[in-house]
Amino acid sequence: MTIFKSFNFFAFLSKKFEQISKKSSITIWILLLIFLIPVAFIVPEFFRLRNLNNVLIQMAPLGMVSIGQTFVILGGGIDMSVGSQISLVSIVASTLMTDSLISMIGVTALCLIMGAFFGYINGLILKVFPIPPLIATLCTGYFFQGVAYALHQTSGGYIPKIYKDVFTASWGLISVPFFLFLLLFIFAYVLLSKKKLGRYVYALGGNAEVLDNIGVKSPEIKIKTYVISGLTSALVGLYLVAKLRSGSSHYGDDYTLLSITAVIVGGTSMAGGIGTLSGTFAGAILVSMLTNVLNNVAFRYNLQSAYYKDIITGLILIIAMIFYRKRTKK
Amino acid sequence: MRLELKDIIKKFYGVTVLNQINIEFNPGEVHALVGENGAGKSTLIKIIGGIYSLDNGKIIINGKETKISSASDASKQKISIVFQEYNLVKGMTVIDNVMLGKEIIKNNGNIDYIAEKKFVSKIAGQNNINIDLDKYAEDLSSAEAKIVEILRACTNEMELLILDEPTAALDDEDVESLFNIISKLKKRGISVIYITHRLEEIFRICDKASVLKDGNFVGTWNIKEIDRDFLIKAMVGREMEKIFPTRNSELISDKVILSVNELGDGKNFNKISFELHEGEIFGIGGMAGQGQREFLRSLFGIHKFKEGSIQMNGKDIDLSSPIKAIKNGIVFLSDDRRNEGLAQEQSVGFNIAFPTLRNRSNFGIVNKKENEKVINNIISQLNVKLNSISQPIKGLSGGNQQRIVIGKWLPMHPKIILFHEPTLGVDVGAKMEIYELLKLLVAKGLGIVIVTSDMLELVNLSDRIGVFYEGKIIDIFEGKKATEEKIMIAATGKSQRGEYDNI
Repeated sequence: MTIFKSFNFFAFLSKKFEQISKKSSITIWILLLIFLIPVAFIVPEFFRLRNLNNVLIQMAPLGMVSIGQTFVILGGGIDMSVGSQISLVSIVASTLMTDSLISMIGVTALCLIMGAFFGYINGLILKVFPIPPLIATLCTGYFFQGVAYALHQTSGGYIPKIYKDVFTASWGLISVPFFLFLLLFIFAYVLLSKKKLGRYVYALGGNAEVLDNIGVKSPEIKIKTYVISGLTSALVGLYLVAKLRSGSSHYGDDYTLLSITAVIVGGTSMAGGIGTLSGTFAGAILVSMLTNVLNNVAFRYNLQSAYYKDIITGLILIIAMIFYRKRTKK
Repeated sequence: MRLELKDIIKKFYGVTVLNQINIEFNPGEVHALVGENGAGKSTLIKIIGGIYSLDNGKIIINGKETKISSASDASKQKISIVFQEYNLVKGMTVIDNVMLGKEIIKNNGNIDYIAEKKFVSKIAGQNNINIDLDKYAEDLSSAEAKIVEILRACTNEMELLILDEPTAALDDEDVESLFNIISKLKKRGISVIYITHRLEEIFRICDKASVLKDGNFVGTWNIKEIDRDFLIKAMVGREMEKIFPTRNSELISDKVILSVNELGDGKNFNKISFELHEGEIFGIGGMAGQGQREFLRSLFGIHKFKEGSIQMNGKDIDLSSPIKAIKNGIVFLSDDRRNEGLAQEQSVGFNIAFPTLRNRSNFGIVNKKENEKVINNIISQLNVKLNSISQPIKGLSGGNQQRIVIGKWLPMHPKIILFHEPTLGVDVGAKMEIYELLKLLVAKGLGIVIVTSDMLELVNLSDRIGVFYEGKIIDIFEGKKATEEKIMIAATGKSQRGEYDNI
């Protein structure tokens, strides 16, 4: 009898957990914690304050792009052009910026406007021509990348030192990039879960026809999600160009696939309509932490980490997709 | 709201789907809109709701001519629609779904969730709707989902509510609560347009009924002045066009080629049994979505069945995949010709040749001459007018496309043809030729199963007719004795053998 009761209790518990995890990001946070346990044994250096700060700083740009990507994927789309947007912004910023304060502020504003404009183009194409967003943004991505190459074949340009100092300042666990990420996260969180727009983004990805039937123009909402993604990409482009004090048409290369990985690992449905920003947060930490851990391991055992990193990122993305498919089939 | 429709005309790609519709809806009136599948009911309400634009005619609201060119125009005119299709966002809660598009906003621009919940539970309480407002839409049953959609309509400021087959997914108890809601709305002076294929509901809840038939307006009657038989006659009684070939039932042999025993998939259809004879056309009819589609597909291995067995020429056969079905001589023609029947961008020749390429290949290389011979042979058999066999499919008319779909299977010498909507999107001339072709095929000893929503086709083409209702064959009629009225009665779920004799 007691066995039965406890069995029932566990069934109840697992059902309850399933209900929670379906809509919230708790699963991924738990996964993150579980992942940390072996890390603590293999690379004890990981938990040093300096390294933790490094992890957060490394995670910040990925986190910011992933926030934009979350909006797009929640809305049922995908943005394959974020990487080249980042690169193009870095090239433009490093070409135009001079030592004057006005120039720094002006170029920063210009770059953000440019990012929004890139996103607008993506959304507009999808509004006018009903083609799969994967193809459309892959094409615009190539276009942006081409422009970046045309402007600057190699890395170069100039960024004032003060610009770098402001963007990379750090005290203990608090750093400007992570602070920027947090600010963006809070802003995006409010937008997504407290404002009308957020509800429409979920509806757009869940069942766009419902929006059309109540008289909300779904293509307009779609454009907005891409504009948000363009803005976050521009912000990351600015951060990277400041950090390295020069622009390059390769800065963004990794960010497209990594941001999608972070969003999917964070539990957002590839089909749109289901997902949370908090999940993306955890996903971004997990993905960038993996890079950090791999670097640590590689350093210890004298390995070339770059290849393993790509292999593991690809594997994680595939596993996350399989997991996600299973979840939706239930 | 007084809504008048004057001379409404709507065409899709040159085909007239609504022709000169004139209906008047009065305040506080529950007005039924009835007609067969494809009569134009859903198109008409989508015009009122601003989803489709009209090609000609006027919409007059309270005496004023009004343009409704978008869904938001319709809601400005206080028109609410509960669509037939599922219309919720699965990843959102009931409240979010109900309040979508009419959010209550706080001063700081945030959504006021507490006020929304209060508002929705108030409206739900007023209408005796009991539903967990925090549930996610994907966890709702289809009946609950329909209730939520009705709840959403009730939270609108409305003067006209359109319900498109709301009871299709509801059980009796939910239907009762829906009727309660409707009578409450009626008391408040709200007009209701009620679309249903369950005729008994009309006599319970409606004041008036308007009938559409093949896109034409038949008439409007007070419910008190008419009865069920009258309504059925108005829905189906049209002129018999002489497009059907004469029935030669003597061609049917006693030999059973396909026998289906108690087939079921546990969800869409259940305990389906019938036998198909050599030379017979077996028609399957009924209202849309009663399991016919899934059943037909399960005979070709696309849809999996769980119970029952299928025998061909007396032997059990395995139909777990289309390849196995084809090996047994069973071929399938989908109702979705564009996506499943033909490769639109490819040539006519390619489309005819590809299912049987293997028969004309040596070591994987196609014998070109033999291939062209087969293609030309099929084209002359089918009487398709073409410029050349390399012409792409997508430029052909629906009738010619349908002939090619049939033609692609013929080199395989099939024994059984499963045909879903044989003449969907096909004009009358081509219909006749397709019917002749089917007759020719059965004369050669094939068996054909057709699933069709075209009542005339069903009655006049089939040698026997099985009518589906809620996943079961509710009745099987001899083709000669079947009438549209009898089938209509069976299709609305009121089969009591014997009742037909009164008609």
